[in-house]
Amino acid sequence: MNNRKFTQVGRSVPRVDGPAKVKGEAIYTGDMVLPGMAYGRIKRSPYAHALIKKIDYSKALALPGVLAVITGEEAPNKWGIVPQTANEVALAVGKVRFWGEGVAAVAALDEETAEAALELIEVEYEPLPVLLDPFESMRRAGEVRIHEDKPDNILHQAEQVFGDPDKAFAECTYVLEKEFRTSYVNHAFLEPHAALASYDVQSGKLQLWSSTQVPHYLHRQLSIVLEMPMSKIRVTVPAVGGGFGGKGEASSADFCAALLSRKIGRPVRVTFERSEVFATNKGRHPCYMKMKIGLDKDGYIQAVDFENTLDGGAYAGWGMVVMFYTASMIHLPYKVPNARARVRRVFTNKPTCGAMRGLGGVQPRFAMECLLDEMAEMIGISPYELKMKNAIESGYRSVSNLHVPHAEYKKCLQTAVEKSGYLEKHGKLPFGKGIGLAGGYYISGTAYTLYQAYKPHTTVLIRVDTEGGVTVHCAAADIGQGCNTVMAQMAAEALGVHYEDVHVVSGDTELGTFDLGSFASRLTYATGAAILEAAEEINQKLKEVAAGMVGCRADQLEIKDRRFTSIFEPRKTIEWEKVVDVYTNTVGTLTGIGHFSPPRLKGIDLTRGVRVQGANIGHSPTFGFSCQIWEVDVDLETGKIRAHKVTEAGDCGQPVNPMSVDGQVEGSIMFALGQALYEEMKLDADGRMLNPSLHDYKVPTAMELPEIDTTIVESYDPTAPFGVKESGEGPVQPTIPAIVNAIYDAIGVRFTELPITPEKVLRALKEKKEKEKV
Amino acid sequence: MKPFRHINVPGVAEAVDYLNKFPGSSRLIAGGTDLLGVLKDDILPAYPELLINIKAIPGLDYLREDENGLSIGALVKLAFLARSPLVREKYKVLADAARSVGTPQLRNMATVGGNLGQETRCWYYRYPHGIGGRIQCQRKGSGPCLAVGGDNRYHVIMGGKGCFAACPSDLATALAALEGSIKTEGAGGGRIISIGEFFHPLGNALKAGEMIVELQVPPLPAGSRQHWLKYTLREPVDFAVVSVAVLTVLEAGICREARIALGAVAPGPLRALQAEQFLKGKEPIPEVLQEAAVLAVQGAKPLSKNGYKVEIARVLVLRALEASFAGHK
Repeated sequence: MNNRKFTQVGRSVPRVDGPAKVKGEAIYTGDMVLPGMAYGRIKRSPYAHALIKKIDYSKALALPGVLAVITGEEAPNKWGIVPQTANEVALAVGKVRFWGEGVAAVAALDEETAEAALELIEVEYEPLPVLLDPFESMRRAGEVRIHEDKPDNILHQAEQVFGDPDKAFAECTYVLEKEFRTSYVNHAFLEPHAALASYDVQSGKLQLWSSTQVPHYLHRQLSIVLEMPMSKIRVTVPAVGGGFGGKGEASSADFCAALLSRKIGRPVRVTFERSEVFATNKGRHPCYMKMKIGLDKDGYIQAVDFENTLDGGAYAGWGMVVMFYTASMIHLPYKVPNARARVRRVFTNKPTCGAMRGLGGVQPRFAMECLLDEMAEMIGISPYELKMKNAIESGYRSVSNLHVPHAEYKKCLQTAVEKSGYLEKHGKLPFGKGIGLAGGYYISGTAYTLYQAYKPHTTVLIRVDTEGGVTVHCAAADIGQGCNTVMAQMAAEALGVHYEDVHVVSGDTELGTFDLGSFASRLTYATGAAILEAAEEINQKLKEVAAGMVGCRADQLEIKDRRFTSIFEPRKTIEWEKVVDVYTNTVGTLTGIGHFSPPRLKGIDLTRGVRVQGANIGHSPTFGFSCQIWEVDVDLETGKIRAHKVTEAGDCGQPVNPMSVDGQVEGSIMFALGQALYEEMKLDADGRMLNPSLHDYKVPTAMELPEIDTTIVESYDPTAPFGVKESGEGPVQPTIPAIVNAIYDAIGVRFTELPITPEKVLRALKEKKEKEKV
Repeated sequence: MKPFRHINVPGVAEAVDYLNKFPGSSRLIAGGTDLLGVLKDDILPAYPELLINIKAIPGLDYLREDENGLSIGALVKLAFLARSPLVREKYKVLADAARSVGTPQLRNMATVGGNLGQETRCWYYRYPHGIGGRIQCQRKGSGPCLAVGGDNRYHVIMGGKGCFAACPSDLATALAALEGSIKTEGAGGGRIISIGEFFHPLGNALKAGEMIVELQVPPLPAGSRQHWLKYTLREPVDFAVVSVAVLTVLEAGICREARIALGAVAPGPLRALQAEQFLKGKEPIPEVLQEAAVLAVQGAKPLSKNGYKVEIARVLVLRALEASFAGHK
C-alpha cells in the first residue's frame, strides 16, 4: 500500500471524543448514578508494614445507612497483571505492606455515611519494621520479610549476557561508567480511579463500569478474585480521563465495588480521592542504575553493561515486565554488539510501582543518552555525530534478536539538529544557557500476552448495513489517546468510505470483540492490522455485487471516496451505498472479521545462539523513534531552571491523524518535563506520603510549557498496516536526558539524579565553584 | 466531606454573633478556596458544625482611599485587587502579590480576608485524614512538630517555635512592606492589629469569635517606590518558597527609607530591620545592596533541608532592591 494514495489515513480530523469532553458533557464513571446505588469507601492503613491482628466492624455495620462492610478475608484470591507474580489482594489479608493499603470497605446509602462508618471500624495492628530503601530491604531480608514467599525481598532478578562484553570492554579505547538514579513519580492523570459495579442477583451477572485501560485484564482479574466465570462478568469503559499506565491493571476500587455490590445486591460505586490515587500509586519505578559504555577508537559502541535495581514498592504489579524492559532498552536505538544487563526488582513498604508511559524505557534512556553525551566530549566530537555514527537503520537486528523492520532514527536526529541550530549553539552559549540533545525509541505493541496464550491480541468485527453504515466493534479502550478516532480513520481508508461514515463500538467486553487493552503503544498497529483483514472480507463481498451492477469483473474494481469504480473503465462506477443496499436486500447484514497476532521472536544471544531469559520482552512488531533538543536557561543565583524550547522530530511511521500525533508528542514532552524538573512523591521515615495532592506534587502547568516545535518525519513502515508505528510513548523517552544534557551545556554540571530542583542546582553550583578554586 | 450547617449572614454583627454562639465549632466561609480543601481532607480534629457564609454581606468589598490611606474590605476578591488601577499604581506590591496567588479561578473566588486568615500549607499539618489518619502536631494542639526531624524543605528559616510552618499569605508580605494593619470585629468590639503582630508560630492573633473586616494601609512616604518578587517552584499556582516586598525612598541619590519584608521564611511576614537600617543614608550602589541582602538573611537558622531558602531569600532581596531603586530614575 502506498501512503500517497491515502485519503482517510493522514487526515487531521478532530477527535470523536473531543467536543463532549471540552464541553464537560462526557460521562465518566464517577458521574454515573444508578437507581438504588450505594457508595463505597475504603478504610486505609496507618502503618506501612504491620500485621493485622483483628478487625472489628460491628459498630460500623450498626450505623444507620451502612449496608455492608467487607474485609480482605472475604476475597483472599491473589491477583496480578503478571500471573506468575500475582501477589495482590482486593483488601489486605493478615498484613499491610504499605501506608494507606485498604483493610476494609464500606457500602452505605451516601458517601458521608460511608466515611463516618470507616471511623467506626476498629483495626488492631502489630507494627513491623518498615523498609523504604531497596538496598536496606535486601540487606535486612533475613530479619524483615515483606512477602513470605520471597525470602530475599526480591520479586525477580536476572542476568542477561549477549556476546562477550568483558572482552569488548578490554579492547575499547573509551570507557565510561556512571551511576544514575530516577525518582518516584506518579502519572497524575486527571480522573481518579472509579468503578461502578452492578450485580444482578437473579442472573448472577455482574456489570462493572470502570475507568480502566485494560478492560480485558480487569475482566480476568475480577473473575479470579470474585470466583465467577468471565462469561458472567461484563466490563464497560465510560469516558476515561487519562491513564498513562496507572489504569493498566485492576485497582482496589474495581474489586471493592464488585464485592460490595454482590454482597448487597445493588449497585455500588467507589470513586477515589486524589490522595487515594497517590496512596495506591502504580507509577514509575525509581531506578538505581549503573551503566558502562565502551567505544572503539572511532567512536563505535562495542559494549554496554547495565545494572539496575528497581524499587518496586509493596506488590508485584507490572514489576517483572518493567524490569525486563529496562534490560531490553539498552539494545536500541544504537548498534550494541555486546551487552550485559543485571537487573532486579526489590520489594519495599511503599505504594507499588507499575506501568507508566514509556515503561522501562525512560530510566535506561536517561542513563544512556547522558553517558553518550559525556563520551562525545571525551572523544572531542559532537554528541550528534556520535549518535549518528551509532544509530540503527531499517532492518537492524540487535544481538538480543530484536528486529527493527523500519527506522528513520537518523532522519529524526538530522531534522531536530537542523531545525534547532544545535550545532551552532552547542558549547557556544553563554554560561547559564544551554542546549541538549537526546534520542529515543519505543515499542509499537508487544509480542506476548501477559498470561500464557496463543490467541490473537486483537479482533475487529466490522458490520456494514443500510441502517448504521459502517460499525467497527473492538473492545479496545479509548482512554483519551484517541484510538476510537484512529480506528474509524483506518476502517474508512480500508473500506473506501469517509471517516465520518464510521461508528466505533469499543470499551466493552460484551459488545466489542477481543482486545488486550491500551498499553505498550499497541492499538494503532494491532487494530490497523485487524481492520485491514476484516475490511478485505467485506470489500470482496461488496465487489462481487458491485461488479454485477456495473458490469465488470470484481477484481477490476477499486473502492474509493464512497464509490466502486472499474480501474480500466472509469465510467463503470457506482455509489458505495447503493451496493450496500443491494447486498443487504439480497443477503442481509454484512460482516467481516479480522485478527492480529504479533510476530513472535525468541530472546536469544545471536552470537552464541542460546536463549536468554526475559530477552523476548521488548520485542515488538515495529518501533517508533524520535529526537528532542531542549534549550534551557538556568538562574545561577536561585537555581531555577527554565526549559524554554524543545525541537522534536519523530518517526511514527505513517501518521493516521497528524493532529493527534502532535498532541501525543506535546503531551509526552510535558509529562516527562515533570519528572525531569518538578515531580517526586515524598515519603516520611514511616512510609507516609507527604505530598498526596496536586498541590504538593508538582505537575508542571501550562506556564511551564516550553515553545514546542515538532516534526513528523517522512516515514512509512512497509511491514506495518498503513505503515504505522507508535507515537504515544516514544516521545517521553528523550525528554529527560535532553534536558539534563542542556543543563550541562548551560552550567557544566552533569546531574545524575532526578528531579533537578533549584536546591540541587544551587548545591551543585556551589560545589563546582569550590572545586574550581582548588 | 462531612455534613455541616451552612447559614448566610446579613452583616458583620450577625457573623460575630454566630461565631460566639458556636465557639470552636463554627467557621467563616467567603471564597472557600482554602476552607473547602481543609474540610475535604479532614485535617482538623474538630470538624465545624456550622459554616457562616459571609460572602453575601453587603458593602464589605470596598476599596477606599482617603487622607488616612487605603482601606480594603475583607471581602474584596484577589482578582479585583490585582486589577484595580488605584492599587496597581500606588500600592503596587499589593496588586502584584494578589496577582501572584494561585490561578485565575482561585483569585476570582478568594478574598483578602481569607488570604490572611488561611490555614498553613505545611504538608504534615495538611495530611489527609483518609489515608491512615490525620497528623497531630503542636499547631493542632497536641504532639510535636514532625517537620523538624522530617522533610522541611518548605518550612521556615527564621522564627519558628513549636511549629515551623511558613506563613502562606502573600498579601501579608506586601502589607508588611506597606506597614499595614488588620481591622477586626469581635464580641468585645473591634481592634486594629498591625500586620507584624498578626501571625505567631502557632497561628494568628484572632481570638475566638473575632473576624477580619478590613485591611488598612497608611499613606505612603512621598516618592516611594515598591517591588514585589515571589519565588515558586512552578510559575503560577504554587505558594511562595520565598517572597519579598520592598519599598524604597530615594532623595538626591541617597536612600532615605527602605522597607524589606520577607515572606514564607517565617511564621509571619518578616521585616529585615537590620538591612533597612543599613541602607538608610547610603547611596544604593551594588556593593551596598549586596551587603543589605546579606544582612536581610543574617540570623537565619535553616532546618535540615531548607538551607537553600536562605540563598534564594538573599538573592530575591537583592533583586527586589535593585528593581525598586531603579524605579526612582
